[in-house]
Amino acid sequence: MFDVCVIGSGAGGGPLAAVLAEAGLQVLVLEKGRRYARRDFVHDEVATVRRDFFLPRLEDDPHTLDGDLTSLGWIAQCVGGGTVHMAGYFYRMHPEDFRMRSRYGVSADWPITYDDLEPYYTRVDQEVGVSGDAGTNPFEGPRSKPYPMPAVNNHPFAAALDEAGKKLGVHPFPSPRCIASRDYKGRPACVYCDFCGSYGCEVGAKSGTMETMLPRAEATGRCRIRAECMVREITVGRDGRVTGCIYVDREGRDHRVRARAVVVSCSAIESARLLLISKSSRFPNGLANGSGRVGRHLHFSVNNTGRAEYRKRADEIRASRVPFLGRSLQDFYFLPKGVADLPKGGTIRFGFPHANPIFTAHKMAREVHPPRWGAFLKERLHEFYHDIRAVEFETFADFLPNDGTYVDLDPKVRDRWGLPAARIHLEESDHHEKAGAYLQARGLELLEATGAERVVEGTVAAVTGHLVHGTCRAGNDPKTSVLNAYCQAHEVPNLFVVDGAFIPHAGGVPSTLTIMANSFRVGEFIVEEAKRGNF
Amino acid sequence: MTEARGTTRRSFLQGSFLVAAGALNWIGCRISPPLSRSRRRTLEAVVERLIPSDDGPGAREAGVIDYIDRALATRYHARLRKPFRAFCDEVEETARAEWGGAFTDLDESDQDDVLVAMQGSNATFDDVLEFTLEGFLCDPRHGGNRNEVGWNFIGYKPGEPRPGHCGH
Repeated sequence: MFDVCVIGSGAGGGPLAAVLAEAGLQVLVLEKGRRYARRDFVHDEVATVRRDFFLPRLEDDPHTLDGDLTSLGWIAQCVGGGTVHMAGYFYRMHPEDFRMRSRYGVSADWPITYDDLEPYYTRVDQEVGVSGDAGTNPFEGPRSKPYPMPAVNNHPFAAALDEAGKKLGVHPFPSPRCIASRDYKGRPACVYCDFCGSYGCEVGAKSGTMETMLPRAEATGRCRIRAECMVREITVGRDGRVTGCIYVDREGRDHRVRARAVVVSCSAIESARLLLISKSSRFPNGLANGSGRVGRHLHFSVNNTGRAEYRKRADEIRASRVPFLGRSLQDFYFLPKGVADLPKGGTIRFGFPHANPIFTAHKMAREVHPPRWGAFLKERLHEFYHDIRAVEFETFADFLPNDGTYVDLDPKVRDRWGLPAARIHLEESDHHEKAGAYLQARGLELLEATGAERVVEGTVAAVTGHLVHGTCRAGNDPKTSVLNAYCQAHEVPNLFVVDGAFIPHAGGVPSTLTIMANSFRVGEFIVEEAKRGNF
Repeated sequence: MTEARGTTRRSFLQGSFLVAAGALNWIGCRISPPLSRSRRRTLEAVVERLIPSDDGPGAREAGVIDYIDRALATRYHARLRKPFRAFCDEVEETARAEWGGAFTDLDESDQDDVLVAMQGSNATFDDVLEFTLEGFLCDPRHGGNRNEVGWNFIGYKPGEPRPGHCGH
């Protein structure tokens, strides 16, 4: 019998496992994916990014969308979850993001405030290891401590963006990263190999949970991590409390786990799926789903992109090998009047194009429709790599939850364990396009002011499928939410959900930092509940 | 349920075996190739138009067709075998019907015209192009980018650590 069984080992499962084990609880972490070591992380684009190193083969583990198999909503399957291959841009939510319903009449309020979460944001900075320069972003909410490490080195061309910012009256700031910029807590500093996003970090400088929180948990001797164990059901007793779970190991054998409490953290779509699958006589519509809200209020993040191409200044860019341009902009986190009914914009992040050559070649091919090939493609590739240098931007902007965007169980399609696949329903608000076009124009404007000969619009209102939220949202009203303010299921006091599913509104930042911060907070609560004898 | 679990078990073993072996090279040689000799010839001619060998190396020098052979032999890409075979057949049918000869016998300009037509009408064209790019710019251990000609064309070096010869 374990005190707590944690399902999933990423941003939600990791910090909490350490908090629980350090407080004396016996913890079992079950992870569906493999356990990788630093030596498994090699610079091989096909193996790492284009096969099943991090993401499942579509036919084995599909989601479905409009009747087709899709990988939308998959994040990662490995110990450490998405924190292994994330690029690690760690921005805090804005205080207003917690009050969308009261303030703007849209989406939902969080059951806590930014001030409630701030001490835990600071715990992530300090204990997990976030590097940044406090005070450089005038739009950030209040912080109780500066970052423990300065921002990672940036390429000298960042000065060009800073200069352009002064001209335009905006405030580019060093992008905070979940990467050690100095040797930190036994891990080495970043070596600037430029293989952060989509790859694991071979030196351990990226501060993912498998480098930080999970080792802390295991060091207590009270936390066991079992990889390649797929939980197929959370079990419920006659009193309506969870009793543990059943998982399938890599040989296909079932195992039963008994635990006093269960924490679910498999990523928003998968956690909702697990609850919906875990039916019982007490919960015929899925575990803790008396409200009918499990799977609902699904939302992602909205991406808008663009690029600048330089010829005259290309040599300046070539002159340094530092891979990080390292500048972000939150001047348009809120929109001026007249752009959209909802004055919410987002974060614009500037950086060099991702180095992956196959990805780049494909991007070059698809710049036109139909995609180019042959001599035209070779010419464009040669030009992109030899004649110019590029700076790109992406955004993180609010995806508005709506009644047409939710997850349920597919009636036909099954995964390789025979369980119903998650079926995604997707509807996108007009707001994404209005805010998106504006953010894209502002990004291009800044780059134009740096003297780029050419600026190119990318996409507007694209959905970032690996930032997933809302499907078991937290709230004060059990009729309209699945979890309470401590991510405790309203109907099942010994069940918690701590991945992005709990987030009622994700705002204009990637949510990984927020998920980690909340994981510390919920971990503390569970420890208190255990001490009070409530499990 | 036992039946289902049996199937699941096989999928598990097969999956982890392929992953543990990692060396997709020799597995590609063990399984009978997904493309017949004549389809392989057609596809080889196709990829040589997608990345031609004028103005620097192309699909031929990089060995893109070898990459595609091995990629199609993996479990991961199994669902593309049938579409790729059908694609090759349609290329030949189109070449014969509209241009009066086997695709491999047409001159380059006519071959390009066939491919323009295919791009407009065949849903697998995009996958063929994507595999061609993979085969041109992958780590050579996957069978393409022979002697790093693709990387040299763009001036790219992935740096260490590179994948080893076995494992992973």
